[in-house]
Amino acid sequence: MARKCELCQANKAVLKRPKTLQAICRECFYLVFETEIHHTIVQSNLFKPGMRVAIGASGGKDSTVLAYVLKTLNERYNYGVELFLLSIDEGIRGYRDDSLETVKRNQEQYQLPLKIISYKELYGWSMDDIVEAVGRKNNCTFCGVFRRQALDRGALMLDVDHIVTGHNADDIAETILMNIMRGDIARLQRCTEIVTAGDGCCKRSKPFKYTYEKEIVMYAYFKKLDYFSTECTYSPNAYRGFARTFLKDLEAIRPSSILDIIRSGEAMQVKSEIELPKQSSCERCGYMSSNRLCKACVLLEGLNRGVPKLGIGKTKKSDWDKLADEQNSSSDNSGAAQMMVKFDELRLQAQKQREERLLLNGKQGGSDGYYCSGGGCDAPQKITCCSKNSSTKQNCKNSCGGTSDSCQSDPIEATTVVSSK
Amino acid sequence: MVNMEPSMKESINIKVEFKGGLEMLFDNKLSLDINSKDIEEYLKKQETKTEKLRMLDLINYLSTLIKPNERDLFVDDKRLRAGILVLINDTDWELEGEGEHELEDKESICFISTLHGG
Ligand code: SF4
Ligand SMILES: [Zn+2]
Ligand SMILES: [Zn+2]
Ligand SMILES: [Zn+2]
Repeated sequence: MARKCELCQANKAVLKRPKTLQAICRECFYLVFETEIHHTIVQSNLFKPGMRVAIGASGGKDSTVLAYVLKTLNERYNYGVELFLLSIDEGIRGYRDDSLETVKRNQEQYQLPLKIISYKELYGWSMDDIVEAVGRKNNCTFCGVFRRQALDRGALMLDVDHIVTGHNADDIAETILMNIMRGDIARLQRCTEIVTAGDGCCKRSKPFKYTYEKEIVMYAYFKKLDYFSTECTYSPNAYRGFARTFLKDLEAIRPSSILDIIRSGEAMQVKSEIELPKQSSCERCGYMSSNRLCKACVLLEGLNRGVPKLGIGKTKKSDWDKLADEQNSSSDNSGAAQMMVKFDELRLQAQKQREERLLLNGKQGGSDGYYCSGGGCDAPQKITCCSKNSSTKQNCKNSCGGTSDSCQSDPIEATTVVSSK
Repeated sequence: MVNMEPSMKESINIKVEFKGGLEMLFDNKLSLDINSKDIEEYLKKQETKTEKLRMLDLINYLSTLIKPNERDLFVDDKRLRAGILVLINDTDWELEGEGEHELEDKESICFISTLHGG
């Protein structure tokens, strides 16, 4: 006897939800899955009308489902955001070239503009080149550092306000475990946050923070979404692999373990005496950095000088400083440093793009500030601008003459779920 | 539930699909047609006697098709490795008795790995 759905009591149940252990049908699954993500977006205030949002797209299951769901929700609930796909091409033959083909298909299927940023173009080195030079040991360090910065650059090139990534509840629980095992307090705190500030370019967030991997995969399966699932050729990831296996075993016994770990991670706060490294910007490329040179610039310098060990593991502060001084004294900034466009330059370009867009919309370009709905401007329909509680008046971003406290609009409201059946 | 004597049991055919990267363990084959005789033969060699063919039998039989050094990416101590989802005729196997589910003729079984990158 087929089991009936516990939500609508009508259709055949096809899935057991890990979060609630309920047996539910396909239609109810789509609805609860999408609605929970909508609630996460609303409760965490991720989007505001008029925002430009990039989806970090790898062609894998998480980002593919994220693109599909965000497009659906944006239409269903009128978020009024503009969505983009942003992909990084690390330059890994047999892996990224194939997965980028998937992203290109997604671009067509979902009708979203796509921007691809390649390591080779940006740094002068593809991951294939890097592995050839450094071997298969620290490749992921290079790759991770380069990716972070590449994403921020891509965000500026698209002039987006926000990057969303497909990290799901299982990923976050796994990262929490790993940071605990490594004693990495700064990262432990950052990895549980749903929104992180980025480096002042734009925010990043994880709308799937409370979404189980199982449901993402099932959703993709039932909806027949097109995704790519091959492991990176250079993936060693032994440590992460163990954490992952451990977590999956826990989840098999007690599915709530995933959310429990996230809750524990959130509860672990950094004691105030522990000082987190101060952030300033890299002297060479302008990227956020707690040293005079950012990690990407140091790694790149090592590659270009043929000493790839540079910047791997613990580097003495004096060495970093020496590197920075050398850099400043040499007049011909040799190698890739010249190729890398500075962040200030990117920011300027983004600002220009923004002004042009506003002009196109028949509005005057304003500096950063708030939108309002007073003063007669036709800023996006529903606005969460402001800071009705904010004590200082801000000028409307559209330079309409209004101020933030003249805003009469309400935040996007959480829509109550009504079963479709 | 139909209960048949083991001797009277006719052979059944099932379709197995692999997704999420699992196909790489099976010569990049996305699907296999399995006849129950193959599974029974394997069980005979193992000297395990079962009245009925269960999902677990299928899983252990499938693991023999994988290169020995990659088997633990599919099975773990004779059970399916955690992190691999299974659908039986498009229904989550957790609603169908999991490993104890009795195989039926023309059933389609889909294995999806969640362990590969997103
Ligand atoms: S496994 Fe390592 S090298 Fe491969 S994409 Fe991930 S970080 Fe880069
Ligand atoms: Zn239902
Ligand atoms: Zn730098
Ligand atoms: Zn205004």
